Amino acid sequence: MFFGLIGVFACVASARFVRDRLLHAGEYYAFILLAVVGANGMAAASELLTAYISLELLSFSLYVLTAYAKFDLRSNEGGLKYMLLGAFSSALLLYGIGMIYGATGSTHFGDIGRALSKDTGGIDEALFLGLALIMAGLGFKVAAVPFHMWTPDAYEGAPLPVTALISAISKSGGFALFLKLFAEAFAPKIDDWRYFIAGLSVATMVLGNLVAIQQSNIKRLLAYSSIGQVGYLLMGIAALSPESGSALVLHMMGYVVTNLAAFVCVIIFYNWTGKEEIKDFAGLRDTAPFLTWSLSIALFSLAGMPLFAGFATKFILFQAAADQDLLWLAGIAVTMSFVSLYYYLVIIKEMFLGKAEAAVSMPVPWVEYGALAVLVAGVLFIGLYPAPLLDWVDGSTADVFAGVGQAAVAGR
Amino acid sequence: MPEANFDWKLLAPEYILVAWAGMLIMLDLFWPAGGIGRWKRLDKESLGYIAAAGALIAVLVSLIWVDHVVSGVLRTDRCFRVRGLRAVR
Amino acid sequence: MGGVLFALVAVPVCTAVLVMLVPSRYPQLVRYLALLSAGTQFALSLLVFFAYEFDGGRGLRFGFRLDWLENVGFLGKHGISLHLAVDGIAAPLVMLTGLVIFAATFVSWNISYRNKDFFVLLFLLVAGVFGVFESQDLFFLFFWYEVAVLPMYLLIAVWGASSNFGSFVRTKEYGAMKLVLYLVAGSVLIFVGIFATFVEADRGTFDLPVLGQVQYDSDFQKAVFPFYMIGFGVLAGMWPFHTWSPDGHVAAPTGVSMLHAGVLMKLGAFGILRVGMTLLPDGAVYGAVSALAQTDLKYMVGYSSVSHMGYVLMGLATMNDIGVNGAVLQMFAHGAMTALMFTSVGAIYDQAHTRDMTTFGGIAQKMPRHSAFWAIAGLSSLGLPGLAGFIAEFHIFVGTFRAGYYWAGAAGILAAAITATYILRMLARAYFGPLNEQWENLREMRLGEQFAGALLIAFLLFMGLWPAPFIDRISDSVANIPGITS
Repeated sequence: MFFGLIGVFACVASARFVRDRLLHAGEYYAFILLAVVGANGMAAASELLTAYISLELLSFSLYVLTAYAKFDLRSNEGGLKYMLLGAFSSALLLYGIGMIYGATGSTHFGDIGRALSKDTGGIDEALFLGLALIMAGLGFKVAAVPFHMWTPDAYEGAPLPVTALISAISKSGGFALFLKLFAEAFAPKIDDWRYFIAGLSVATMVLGNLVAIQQSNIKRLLAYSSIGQVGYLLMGIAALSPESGSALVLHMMGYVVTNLAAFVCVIIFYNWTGKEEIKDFAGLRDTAPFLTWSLSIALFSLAGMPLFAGFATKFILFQAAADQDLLWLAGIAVTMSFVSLYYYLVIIKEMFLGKAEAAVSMPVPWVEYGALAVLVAGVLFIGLYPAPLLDWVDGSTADVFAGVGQAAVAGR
Repeated sequence: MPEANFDWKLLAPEYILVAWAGMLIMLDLFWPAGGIGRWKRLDKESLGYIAAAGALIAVLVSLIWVDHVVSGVLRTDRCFRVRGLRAVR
Repeated sequence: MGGVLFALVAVPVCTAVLVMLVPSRYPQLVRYLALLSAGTQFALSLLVFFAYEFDGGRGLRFGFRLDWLENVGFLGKHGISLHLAVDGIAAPLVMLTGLVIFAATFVSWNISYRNKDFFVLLFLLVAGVFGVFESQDLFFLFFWYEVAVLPMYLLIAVWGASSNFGSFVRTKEYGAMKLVLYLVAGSVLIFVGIFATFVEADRGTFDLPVLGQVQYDSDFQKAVFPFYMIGFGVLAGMWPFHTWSPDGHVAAPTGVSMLHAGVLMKLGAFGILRVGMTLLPDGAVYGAVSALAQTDLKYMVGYSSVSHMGYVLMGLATMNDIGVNGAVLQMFAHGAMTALMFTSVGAIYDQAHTRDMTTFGGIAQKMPRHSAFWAIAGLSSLGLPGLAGFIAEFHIFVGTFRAGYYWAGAAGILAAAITATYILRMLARAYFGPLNEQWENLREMRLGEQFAGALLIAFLLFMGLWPAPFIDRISDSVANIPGITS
């Protein structure tokens, strides 16, 4: 359901964009819907092959969409890079699945978990290899460092609405699978992979946030900032527990809503001007106050400022990590979200203080503004009153952790 | 090994999405030049809104599984689809 | 009465929303809305101060609780709740906030460039300040703390002023960025401290009274207290993390400077007192020495605001009741005094477009009332008996000597003497003596500014002449802080 909503916003947001800049609209929308199907399947799957097929459905739709602006060289380059690396990572993932099947005799998450919890000895080589390969494969999909190389190019090259779609759907789908897989299947062996994931998480958030400071293109900036966000999300996996699971899902929802809001702002701006450098946002406050305020709210929320979604969800996520004796990890995460505030402030500074070069009269896009208003309302809602959401999320993660995962976590 | 459940109804939202995707391609390809009735031409923008409507319908359909956890043929339990809505076992 | 506390947070937030909805064609309407709201807040804050202890109650008063998240995940009953209450320490500070926002609204009356956005951000900031003073929940204390920091960037960067100091230039963007990054860096430490405390306490709640009952391990206290001390200390202008303060204050518009130097910096000291010293008394004893090591002379005389906040920290570091009382008194006195100073500085800057005091001369002939305000603020700052500053500093120095920090007390008194020198010299140079022709055309302050100034002076005199209501309230609550000796 959640992914469907992403799809709705992606379609609404791309409508005008597509009219102006792309060919073959029918297939374009069809691919968006197929990507939604893939993400749905990924989140719902509780069996490795189903998960793999759904993931491929999602990925292939996104490969095509990335290269959709076929007269734009950057789009082609981004699409090619994304596809080559993506195919490579799929191969790794599939190989890992094979290893796991060999080691445990099942592809069902629950059965793997049961098999693993019976096995009290050390982790054997095949299992270890399989686990590492699966982590690498999924790491590619969610763009965790050091498997993130495709992200900036794909983000920059892809048509803007597709960038928004990748950042929202491939991350949330990937993490839904990540969480279910590790909570249901691999939880009994948590001590063997916890610090590996924690290390990935640290590398991801440090690199993503530090590199983002350098960027002058807003798409690349958002790409690196989303890598940073992946680092926070990985923290939720490393601190695997029912609490951190629901905190993870909550943060992901907050992140997706916020990021979509930011991207819708950028899309509207791009539709007007055809520019996407940060310095082009100068003086936007004078020409488009609503857009400016919405983008500021989205950016502040990404930086984890209060009143907005980012603060509440980050606080809960970091606290969940600290609860699992990962206080140092939470400390690094907080420091990094402080770093991220700097580059968000740079954009905000441009919008409020810069001088616009020429006053362009811009048509007010009511449909996009409507979508934006809904998203901003969502950001504020999650930020100010996450209780019902967290309640629901807690209920569903409790189910994921029920059974084998729960026993293993509790008995640890 | 849990019981396989061949209840394909579980995949209804996916079917809707896929069918909708096919319909969009068909609409785009075979829209008559003369238009149908009042609708003379179909521009790319309105295709986008139609697609959005499809996704919205799929969302609404998937609301059926609120408060349910199902083990399907793919053992798709629904708790993540209806993410954000309490699943009662 | 709990509703009053909630209203104090809700009124500014609602005003911000309301002002945002006013079309920007009506700047005058925005001003009157702001004034109405600021007046309401002032009245409510007065009510909080005077109703406190009116019926002989003490401790935490006017409790109010709105559950936000509970019984979810790691959170138990009342896990995170908007728990508002004031004790005798918070009550005067709440009144101070009401006073300063009321005065600041008058002072900001003439802002014409996007005054709508200005008041939206200003009231958001004030909501944050009220929230911190009233919160009895660690999560919300931090939440409001960040809310108070967040609007500062835009307030300074958009409505501030760049300064040219001759040899170097400080742009407002620089000041704003430096201020926000320093403060948020400080809050990173607080964040970590909060996590550590929550995990260590293991009560499943962020409620401060509950957390306060937990006996923390002594080593834990010593390890975590510095996080709070430094994190909040950045905002309190603690050396060596004070360098954002002059840059930020110079760049900020008058109304914001008033709030910032007057109230916001108090949040830092208040945070140390409320979170650090209340939860972790053992750590505080240990950290006090490190705080005192930083009260060196250069820092004391370097910047007026920083040195006065230095007195506050010194008072906190004594860990005895007189010293801590003095620290809270100093927070109030300094808040009202700085607000007054910035009011008059702002008034002259509006006309002269410079803040360089050496270029003025004899302007008392042109602006007699302005000069009187400046003189009173200055005299309070150097601790003239009869004004608020004296009462506060006297308490602090007595506390310091009683705690045995003779050298620190002596340095503080010396610093006060040096303050007197530069305040008096500035008065002599800029205000009296022959009139510099350059400033022939200066006019008196606006009526609104005069009113704001008069109001602030009234409170300075109130506390200076009759400090009993303040000391009653404060000492009652200070005695409840663990680890405070008498």
